[in-house]
Amino acid sequence: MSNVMKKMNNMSDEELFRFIEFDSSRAESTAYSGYSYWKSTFKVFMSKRSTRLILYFLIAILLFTFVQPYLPGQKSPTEIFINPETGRQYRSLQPNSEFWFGTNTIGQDLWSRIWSGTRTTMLIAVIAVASSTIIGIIIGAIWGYVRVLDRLFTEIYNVINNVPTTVLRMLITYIMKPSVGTLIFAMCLTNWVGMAKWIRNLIIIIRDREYNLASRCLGTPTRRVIVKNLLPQIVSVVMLDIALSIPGVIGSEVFLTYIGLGLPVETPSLGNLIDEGRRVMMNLSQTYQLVFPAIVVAAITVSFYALGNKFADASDPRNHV
Amino acid sequence: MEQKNRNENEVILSVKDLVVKFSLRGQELTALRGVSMELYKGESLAIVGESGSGKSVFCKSFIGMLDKNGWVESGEIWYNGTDIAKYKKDEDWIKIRGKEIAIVFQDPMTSLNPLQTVGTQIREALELHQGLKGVAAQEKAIEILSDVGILEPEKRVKDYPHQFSGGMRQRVVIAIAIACNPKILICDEPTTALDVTIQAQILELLKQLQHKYNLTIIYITHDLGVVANVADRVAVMYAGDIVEIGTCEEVFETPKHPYTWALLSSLPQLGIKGEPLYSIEGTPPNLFTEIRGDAFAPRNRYAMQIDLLERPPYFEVSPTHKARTWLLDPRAPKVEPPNTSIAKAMESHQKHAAANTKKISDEKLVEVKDLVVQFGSNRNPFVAVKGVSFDIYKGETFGLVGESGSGKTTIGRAIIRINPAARGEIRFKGERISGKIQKELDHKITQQIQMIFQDPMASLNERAKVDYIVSEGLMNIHPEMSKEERDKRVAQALRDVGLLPEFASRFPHEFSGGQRQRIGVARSLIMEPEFIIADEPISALDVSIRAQVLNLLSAMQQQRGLTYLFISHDLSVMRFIADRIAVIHKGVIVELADTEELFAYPLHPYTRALLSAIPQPDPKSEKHKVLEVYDPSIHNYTVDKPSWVEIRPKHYITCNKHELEQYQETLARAGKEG
Repeated sequence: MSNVMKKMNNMSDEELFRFIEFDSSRAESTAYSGYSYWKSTFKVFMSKRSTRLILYFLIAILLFTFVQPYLPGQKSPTEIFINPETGRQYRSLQPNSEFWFGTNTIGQDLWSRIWSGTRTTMLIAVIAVASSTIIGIIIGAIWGYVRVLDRLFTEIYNVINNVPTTVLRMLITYIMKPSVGTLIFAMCLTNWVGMAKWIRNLIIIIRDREYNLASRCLGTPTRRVIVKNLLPQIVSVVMLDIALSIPGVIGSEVFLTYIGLGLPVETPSLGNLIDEGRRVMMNLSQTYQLVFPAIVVAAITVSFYALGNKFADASDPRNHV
Repeated sequence: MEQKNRNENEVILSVKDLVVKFSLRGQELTALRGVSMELYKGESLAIVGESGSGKSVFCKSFIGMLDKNGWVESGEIWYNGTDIAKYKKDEDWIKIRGKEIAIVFQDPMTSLNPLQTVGTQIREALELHQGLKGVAAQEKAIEILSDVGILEPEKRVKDYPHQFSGGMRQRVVIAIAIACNPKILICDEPTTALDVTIQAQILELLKQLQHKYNLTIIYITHDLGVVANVADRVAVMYAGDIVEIGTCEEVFETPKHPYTWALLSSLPQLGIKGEPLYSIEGTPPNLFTEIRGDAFAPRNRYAMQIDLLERPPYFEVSPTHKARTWLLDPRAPKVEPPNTSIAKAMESHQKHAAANTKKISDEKLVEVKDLVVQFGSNRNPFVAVKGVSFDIYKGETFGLVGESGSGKTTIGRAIIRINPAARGEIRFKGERISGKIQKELDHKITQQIQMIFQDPMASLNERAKVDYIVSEGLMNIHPEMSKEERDKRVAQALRDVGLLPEFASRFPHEFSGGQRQRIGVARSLIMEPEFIIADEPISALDVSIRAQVLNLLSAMQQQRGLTYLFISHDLSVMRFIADRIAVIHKGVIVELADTEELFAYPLHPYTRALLSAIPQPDPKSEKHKVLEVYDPSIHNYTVDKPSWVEIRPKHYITCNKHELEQYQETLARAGKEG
């Protein structure tokens, strides 16, 4: 400010009151705003400490799940350990320095089984959610944007949606050989329907905005309108939906396996572990076999859920203050 | 008159050096930069400014209704001997809000509760602010409703807001404000969401109420015509400050601030057809950055060195008129202000009108015949366009004027094939383009007919770069074109509309409304079309920006020989830009004539009502104008069916035989007088 004052004092009245040349670029540049949607979303998302903690925790737990088998001193999740002195299996050992989470009823290491199970479950969740999201987006976008197909798709939706999902999943896993692939297939078969409907509703809201009419006037083909105009607008909502459906899929894997229709017993998964734990939970000394896997399931699903909600808040432009 | 007011009347509200700040996305924004103002009892003050000039924030600070991220940084607001700027709690504000100062917002849809009858909502205000209960409150509610001009108030008091039309709803909102028995009424763009004919009626009503209830009214508006109609005094705001304040006559007739000059002279009413309008370049400043010197300096053609260095103080022109500009300093050079008088403009207009008639070929470019457009199912259709016929000649600007819901946009969209025609035919260069057409023709039409949309905020894809937005059409029409060629054309198109080619790599949100609208124009022009449908291309823009876009459109027409279908609700804009005008009412074209012919001999009662309702930015004529109201029930079409008649050469009108005779009589009388 003092600089300005000095400059003013140095100038004569005549200089001060002389016209300056009109510069149109100066006039054009007056209203530049550096606002960016994604930058602001990210900033708001990361601004809360609790959100950052949950995010780091989730990343750490997922990283650990995949790194764990390669760490030194880890045991195989399927090997049955035998006490060399007695020649008998280490059945239901309480957690100790050798077996960190103890052993199960047939002498397998619970620690490595839990991480191996988390791997399997996460694999199912990610593949199932990813594929149902892709199918859901494709079908939902066409359903929402192409008017003539709306009626047909809605009827198909009504038919599929009226079959109870759990029954359908049980039926499929019952018919097909129980395996990871079967489970993913069963999840996809029911999950995409909800996703597609959700996308369709979002698309219908933005379908008749002026910029889409403009694209139609320019003769842009439907496929490019969907990819360039519609989908980028709903990315944040889709991301939220992904974050929220992962815990849902984990939950149904646990449930299906728990009722004995999911994965075969020899494949460790969180569902299998909880099922095993349930059988012995009435025996107070063996409750740990249920508690440990249950804690892991809860921690992962709750984290995903919390992050999804935080992201929903952050992606709302009204919160970009 | 103002002098007298000042002596007799006390100051009811006084603001001193008010600074209001907002925190937005981690940055601090200064919305008001030390505003001072005095409001006299019983006057009507109009605050004029563009969006973002801080006019709404200013008035909301009087009633403690700033958004939650805003606060009063410093300054005082004196009302009734207390500094209400110091109020922090809601309990304090409740003593002021409604009881002393009430506010009427722009959109009557959102200010009423859809789940309560209007009577309940008025009674609520009466109970809170006047302590009336039961039957007394009900009677008072009915009285107020009849005061705001609602017919059969005893019956309507039991109706819900959705049972009222837009204008009637705004009357109800005003009734609720009146029910609080305030001393000051703030009207925040009270008529912007309404049609012109309704707007005029509401302004008339506010004037009556002011008289009856002894109100002091503050109008917030961007429309200078409204200001000329209602205001005793005018305050012009720019970038969070009042740059000029004076009586209505002073500001309109002898404006002193270069921004006021620019604002007044960029009005299309002052324009001469065929010549560019006076326009203010650039956009209002970004309030996030610190403004040094005069905020208007970067856009000011009369800017001096000192404008960049120090903020000007107020210079008094007369006891009632002051302005913040260094041009009034005795040391400043003398400047001849541009013409801002509408009377003078009309004179030169008439002189030019004869000489300047554009030659239009008689080659028909677009022919619309008995066009019917309907929405909804076939069983229960809503007919938006009811059998409309007109031709558009090559090289002309054809204006389509009507109010909201008249079907004007639908016609435009039917031509560009967004809304399919239910019946009738549309021909382009003699070929039928409505209904099912062949692929090659479809391809050709996509290139040759383009559209410019109303809302620059909604018509650009937020998630794509300007580069893609502008080149989108090229990719569809010339998929074989190389990337380099495309980039070259995009850069050229941006330069054509006055933007820098570097802007291609930015996203739309980085631009202001006027710049975005020019991007929209560039997107159409790159297709090298012959025919452009401009659907209200300037109605969502600020006054200072409108002239830029209008100039751009006329320049493009002259350079490229384009034909426009210009859709608007604003007849004053039409007079400047259109060669022929069609007036449309409820899906029927009621009158069609050359522009000057239509303004000289408006015949259809609806056209006359529209013309009388346009607010003119001239206080002299505006304050004494007589409003004509159109009542569709005057037409008795049960026996004598209406038809499309050429009443004068190239002047068509919808009427039946009886009406035709009346119109011809009117014409004969006008001919004798003229």
